[in-house]
Amino acid sequence: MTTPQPDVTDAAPPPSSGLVQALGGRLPGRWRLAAAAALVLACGLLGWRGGAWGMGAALAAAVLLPRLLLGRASHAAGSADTSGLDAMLDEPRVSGGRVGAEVMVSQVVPVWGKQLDITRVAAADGLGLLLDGFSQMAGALGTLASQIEHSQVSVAPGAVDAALAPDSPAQAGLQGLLAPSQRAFAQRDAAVAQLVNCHHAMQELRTLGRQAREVGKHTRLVAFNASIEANRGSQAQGSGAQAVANETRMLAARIADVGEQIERVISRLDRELTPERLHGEISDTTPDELALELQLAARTALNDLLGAMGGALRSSGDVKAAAETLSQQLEETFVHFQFGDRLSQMLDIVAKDMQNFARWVAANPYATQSDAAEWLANLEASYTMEEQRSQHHGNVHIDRGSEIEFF
Amino acid sequence: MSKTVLIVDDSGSFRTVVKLALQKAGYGVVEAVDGKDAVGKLNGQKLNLIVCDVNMPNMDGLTFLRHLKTTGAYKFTPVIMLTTESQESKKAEGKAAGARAWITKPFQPSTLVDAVNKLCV
Repeated sequence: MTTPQPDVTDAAPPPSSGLVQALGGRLPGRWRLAAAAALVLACGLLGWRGGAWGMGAALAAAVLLPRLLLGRASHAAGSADTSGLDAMLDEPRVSGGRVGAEVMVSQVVPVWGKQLDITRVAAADGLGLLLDGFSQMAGALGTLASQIEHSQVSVAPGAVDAALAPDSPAQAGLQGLLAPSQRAFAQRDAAVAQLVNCHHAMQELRTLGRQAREVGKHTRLVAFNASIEANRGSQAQGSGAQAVANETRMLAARIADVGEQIERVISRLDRELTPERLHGEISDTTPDELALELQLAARTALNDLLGAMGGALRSSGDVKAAAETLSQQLEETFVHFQFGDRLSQMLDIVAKDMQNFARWVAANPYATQSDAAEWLANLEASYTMEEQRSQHHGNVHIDRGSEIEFF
Repeated sequence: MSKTVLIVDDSGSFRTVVKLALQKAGYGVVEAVDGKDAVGKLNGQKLNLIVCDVNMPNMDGLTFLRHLKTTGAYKFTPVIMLTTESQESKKAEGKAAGARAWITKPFQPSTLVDAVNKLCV
């Protein structure tokens, strides 16, 4: 942004002679004063010796020459040391037709007012953009904190018990896991019942085996009697009957042997398949015990799972804490933004006051001290902020926090 | 259904800060840029509370407040004045006009939300 420079072309100093300019531009200040005094003295002498015209010329010279000398020298010295606005501040001007102060105020003050207005608009626009950005950040932080809070898993004591409560979804899942095992238990029990029935059938087989041995003994006795009877009979009949008796004895031996084998097998099976033994085998694991084992296994798995999740939960907690901290800092930032907005408001007020002041001065070129006092009083009455009232009297403003008053 | 707050302030920045704080606290927000604009927003919609600046163009906050108290539907709607004005005479004027609280800028958003929670009907 460029700073507007006042237009000074119409207020250029009046022309002066080369001699005076040369003298004024080169002599130091106290010598210029001495030279001016000498000129006044010389003019006095000229007037005393020169009659009426000489007196008039001497008076004019006494007034104009020292003024030209001192004024020109001052301008030349100022130009050598400073430039622009600083040089202008050292040199009072008079403009033709209007009072100088009125011209200056009416032309320069509005320019300042516009500059203040531009600054205020730029500050307000920039502030608005910054606020939009921070608003979006605050919104995103709020969403993040909310999501973290809602995704938080409770790992408080008793969490596992709560997870495995009778009416919990996890319990329904465990029952689903138990169902195939329970079906297997039922099938096993049915098979055992079948085996017990087989044991009963084997007892009948044992009886039949004994009966077979008895039949074999009896048959052997019959074969023995038949052999005796064969010895009593004729030779031809005897040999035939003896053969039958022998066959019968062999048959009896085989029957007895088969009966004995049946009894041995039955005895062996009987030892293996006694109902007490069968029930003793299956009573090692009951469905209730299996369910309990499953509950314990599920509890262990849940504890392990929660332990593994602990790290992730702690990280989520850290992120949540960071989000809350950032949110608090953003709130503080919003408070600071308000100071920027107040600055913008103050600039607006000052710009408007300057424009009003310029208009007033243009309409009232001959202002008095009481006008100035009235202006200051009106300004003070128009202030809306404590800072303005404080600074109006040159006091140091003490910052204060937010205040609330309920009616 | 969330409660609705009307924010009346000629500063867009202040409206943004107030809106953000109130929306975060769960309130719905309607905005007006000055008293005249706010009068136009009194179109029968349900307003649970009004947060109003004092110094505004077109119609200042105290004039709007006096107008509000003559409007049947919003006669009892609580109004919080949120302003840079800290003069006791202005506060007395606001109290006489029917304001329920006076908050001096700059304000902490949490302070405003506490006041709104307390007064919101």
